[in-house]
Amino acid sequence: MLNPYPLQETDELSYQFVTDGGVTYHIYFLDYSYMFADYPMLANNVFSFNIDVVSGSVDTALSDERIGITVVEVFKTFFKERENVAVYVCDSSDERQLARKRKFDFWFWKYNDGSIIKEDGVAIVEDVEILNSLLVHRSNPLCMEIIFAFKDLNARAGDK
Amino acid sequence: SIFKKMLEDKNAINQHLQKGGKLKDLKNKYRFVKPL
Repeated sequence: MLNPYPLQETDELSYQFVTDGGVTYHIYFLDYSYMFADYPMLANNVFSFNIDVVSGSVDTALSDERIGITVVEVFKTFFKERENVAVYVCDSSDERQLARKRKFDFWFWKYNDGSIIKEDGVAIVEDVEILNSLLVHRSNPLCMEIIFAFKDLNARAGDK
Repeated sequence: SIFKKMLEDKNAINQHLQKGGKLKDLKNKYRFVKPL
Protein backbone atom coordinates (compact mmCIF):
# COMPACT_ATOMS: atom_id res chain seq x y z
CA MET A 1 0.00 0.00 0.00
CA LEU A 2 1.37 3.38 -1.00
CA ASN A 3 1.68 6.15 1.58
CA PRO A 4 1.15 9.87 1.07
CA TYR A 5 4.24 12.05 0.88
CA PRO A 6 5.05 13.81 4.17
CA LEU A 7 3.59 17.29 4.22
CA GLN A 8 5.99 19.99 5.37
CA GLU A 9 5.13 23.42 6.73
CA THR A 10 7.66 25.54 4.91
CA ASP A 11 6.39 28.94 5.96
CA GLU A 12 3.43 30.63 7.62
CA LEU A 13 1.35 30.51 4.44
CA SER A 14 1.69 27.13 2.78
CA TYR A 15 2.60 23.46 2.84
CA GLN A 16 4.84 21.53 0.51
CA PHE A 17 5.84 18.00 -0.37
CA VAL A 18 8.63 16.60 -2.52
CA THR A 19 8.07 13.54 -4.70
CA ASP A 20 10.46 10.65 -5.22
CA GLY A 21 11.09 12.15 -8.67
CA GLY A 22 12.26 15.41 -7.13
CA VAL A 23 9.19 17.50 -7.95
CA THR A 24 8.27 20.05 -5.27
CA TYR A 25 4.60 20.91 -4.85
CA HIS A 26 3.23 23.88 -2.94
CA ILE A 27 -0.23 23.62 -1.40
CA TYR A 28 -1.99 26.68 -0.07
CA PHE A 29 -5.49 27.73 0.90
CA LEU A 30 -7.11 31.13 0.45
CA ASP A 31 -10.05 32.29 2.56
CA TYR A 32 -13.00 33.51 0.48
CA SER A 33 -15.59 33.43 3.25
CA TYR A 34 -15.98 37.21 3.01
CA MET A 35 -17.42 36.87 -0.51
CA PHE A 36 -20.33 34.65 0.48
CA ALA A 37 -22.53 37.16 2.27
CA ASP A 38 -25.58 35.93 0.34
CA TYR A 39 -25.04 32.33 1.44
CA PRO A 40 -25.08 32.27 5.27
CA MET A 41 -24.53 28.51 5.43
CA LEU A 42 -21.27 29.00 3.55
CA ALA A 43 -20.21 32.28 5.04
CA ASN A 44 -17.57 31.29 7.56
CA ASN A 45 -15.64 28.38 6.13
CA VAL A 46 -15.01 28.70 2.39
CA PHE A 47 -11.44 28.15 1.24
CA SER A 48 -9.94 27.69 -2.18
CA PHE A 49 -7.50 24.81 -2.52
CA ASN A 50 -4.44 25.42 -4.66
CA ILE A 51 -1.57 23.18 -5.70
CA ASP A 52 1.38 24.34 -7.78
CA VAL A 53 4.62 22.80 -8.98
CA VAL A 54 7.44 25.05 -7.85
CA SER A 55 10.42 23.01 -9.04
CA GLY A 56 11.28 19.81 -10.86
CA SER A 57 10.00 18.19 -14.02
CA VAL A 58 6.27 17.48 -14.06
CA ASP A 59 6.92 14.66 -16.55
CA THR A 60 8.32 12.55 -13.72
CA ALA A 61 5.08 13.06 -11.77
CA LEU A 62 2.61 11.82 -14.37
CA SER A 63 2.55 8.22 -13.14
CA ASP A 64 3.27 8.95 -9.48
CA GLU A 65 0.26 7.64 -7.57
CA ARG A 66 1.50 9.03 -4.27
CA ILE A 67 0.72 12.59 -5.43
CA GLY A 68 -3.01 11.87 -5.64
CA ILE A 69 -2.90 9.97 -2.36
CA THR A 70 -1.19 12.98 -0.75
CA VAL A 71 -3.78 15.43 -2.08
CA VAL A 72 -6.69 13.34 -0.83
CA GLU A 73 -4.92 12.97 2.53
CA VAL A 74 -4.64 16.77 2.70
CA PHE A 75 -8.40 17.00 2.28
CA LYS A 76 -9.03 14.37 4.93
CA THR A 77 -7.04 16.54 7.34
CA PHE A 78 -8.81 19.68 6.12
CA PHE A 79 -12.19 18.07 6.82
CA LYS A 80 -11.38 17.20 10.40
CA GLU A 81 -13.15 20.52 10.78
CA ARG A 82 -16.47 19.19 9.49
CA GLU A 83 -17.87 22.58 8.54
CA ASN A 84 -14.99 23.47 6.24
CA VAL A 85 -15.81 23.86 2.56
CA ALA A 86 -13.20 23.77 -0.21
CA VAL A 87 -13.43 25.04 -3.77
CA TYR A 88 -10.95 23.97 -6.42
CA VAL A 89 -10.70 26.11 -9.54
CA CYS A 90 -8.68 24.74 -12.45
CA ASP A 91 -5.77 26.99 -13.41
CA SER A 92 -6.30 28.13 -17.01
CA SER A 93 -3.26 30.35 -17.52
CA ASP A 94 -1.70 27.76 -19.84
CA GLU A 95 -5.03 26.48 -21.25
CA ARG A 96 -4.51 23.07 -19.61
CA GLN A 97 -7.50 23.40 -17.28
CA LEU A 98 -9.25 20.34 -18.70
CA ALA A 99 -6.20 18.15 -18.06
CA ARG A 100 -6.11 19.43 -14.47
CA LYS A 101 -9.79 18.67 -14.01
CA ARG A 102 -9.32 15.11 -15.30
CA LYS A 103 -6.42 14.54 -12.91
CA PHE A 104 -8.33 15.98 -9.95
CA ASP A 105 -11.37 13.85 -10.84
CA PHE A 106 -9.19 10.76 -11.11
CA TRP A 107 -7.57 11.33 -7.72
CA PHE A 108 -10.94 11.52 -6.02
CA TRP A 109 -12.42 8.63 -7.95
CA LYS A 110 -9.51 6.42 -6.94
CA TYR A 111 -8.54 7.51 -3.42
CA ASN A 112 -11.60 9.08 -1.78
CA ASP A 113 -13.05 6.75 0.84
CA GLY A 114 -16.51 8.22 0.37
CA SER A 115 -16.29 10.71 3.23
CA ILE A 116 -15.75 13.65 0.89
CA ILE A 117 -18.42 14.73 -1.58
CA LYS A 118 -17.12 16.40 -4.74
CA GLU A 119 -19.59 18.41 -6.78
CA ASP A 120 -18.34 19.69 -10.14
CA GLY A 121 -19.41 22.95 -11.74
CA VAL A 122 -18.73 25.12 -14.75
CA ALA A 123 -19.10 28.86 -14.31
CA ILE A 124 -19.38 30.79 -17.56
CA VAL A 125 -18.04 34.29 -17.03
CA GLU A 126 -17.63 36.67 -19.96
CA ASP A 127 -17.73 33.70 -22.36
CA VAL A 128 -14.97 31.92 -20.44
CA GLU A 129 -15.62 28.52 -18.88
CA ILE A 130 -14.21 28.25 -15.36
CA LEU A 131 -14.02 24.60 -14.29
CA ASN A 132 -14.51 24.23 -10.56
CA SER A 133 -15.28 21.69 -7.88
CA LEU A 134 -16.85 21.96 -4.46
CA LEU A 135 -15.63 19.63 -1.73
CA VAL A 136 -17.69 19.12 1.39
CA HIS A 137 -17.64 16.48 4.10
CA ARG A 138 -20.52 14.02 4.03
CA SER A 139 -21.07 14.63 7.76
CA ASN A 140 -21.41 18.39 7.36
CA PRO A 141 -24.88 19.11 8.78
CA LEU A 142 -25.51 21.63 5.99
CA CYS A 143 -24.15 19.42 3.24
CA MET A 144 -27.20 19.54 0.94
CA GLU A 145 -27.76 23.27 1.44
CA ILE A 146 -24.11 23.94 0.60
CA ILE A 147 -24.32 21.89 -2.60
CA PHE A 148 -27.49 23.76 -3.58
CA ALA A 149 -25.78 27.11 -2.94
CA PHE A 150 -22.80 26.00 -5.01
CA LYS A 151 -25.02 25.09 -7.96
CA ASP A 152 -26.82 28.41 -7.62
CA LEU A 153 -23.49 30.21 -7.58
CA ASN A 154 -22.39 28.54 -10.81
CA ALA A 155 -25.71 29.36 -12.44
CA ARG A 156 -25.42 33.02 -11.40
CA ALA A 157 -21.79 33.40 -12.42
CA GLY A 158 -22.69 35.28 -15.57
CA ASP A 159 -25.12 37.69 -13.91
CA LYS A 160 -24.33 41.37 -14.22
CA SER B 1 -18.37 36.12 -10.02
CA ILE B 2 -16.59 34.52 -7.13
CA PHE B 3 -15.13 31.95 -9.48
CA LYS B 4 -13.60 34.62 -11.67
CA LYS B 5 -11.98 36.16 -8.62
CA MET B 6 -10.66 32.79 -7.47
CA LEU B 7 -9.25 32.04 -10.91
CA GLU B 8 -7.59 35.43 -11.28
CA ASP B 9 -6.00 35.10 -7.85
CA LYS B 10 -4.81 31.58 -8.58
CA ASN B 11 -3.30 32.51 -11.93
CA ALA B 12 -1.60 35.61 -10.52
CA ILE B 13 -0.07 33.67 -7.64
CA ASN B 14 1.05 30.85 -9.93
CA GLN B 15 2.75 33.29 -12.29
CA HIS B 16 4.48 34.93 -9.33
CA LEU B 17 5.82 31.54 -8.22
CA GLN B 18 6.91 30.61 -11.75
CA LYS B 19 9.00 33.79 -11.86
CA GLY B 20 10.80 32.68 -8.72
CA GLY B 21 8.73 34.77 -6.34
CA LYS B 22 7.71 33.63 -2.88
CA LEU B 23 4.23 33.37 -1.41
CA LYS B 24 5.28 35.58 1.49
CA ASP B 25 5.69 38.45 -1.01
CA LEU B 26 1.91 38.28 -1.46
CA LYS B 27 0.77 37.72 2.10
CA ASN B 28 -0.86 41.15 2.41
CA LYS B 29 -2.60 40.86 -0.95
CA TYR B 30 -4.46 37.57 -0.44
CA ARG B 31 -6.08 35.86 2.54
CA PHE B 32 -3.77 32.90 3.07
CA VAL B 33 -4.90 30.47 5.75
CA LYS B 34 -3.49 27.25 7.15
CA PRO B 35 -6.44 25.04 7.98
CA LEU B 36 -4.43 21.85 8.43
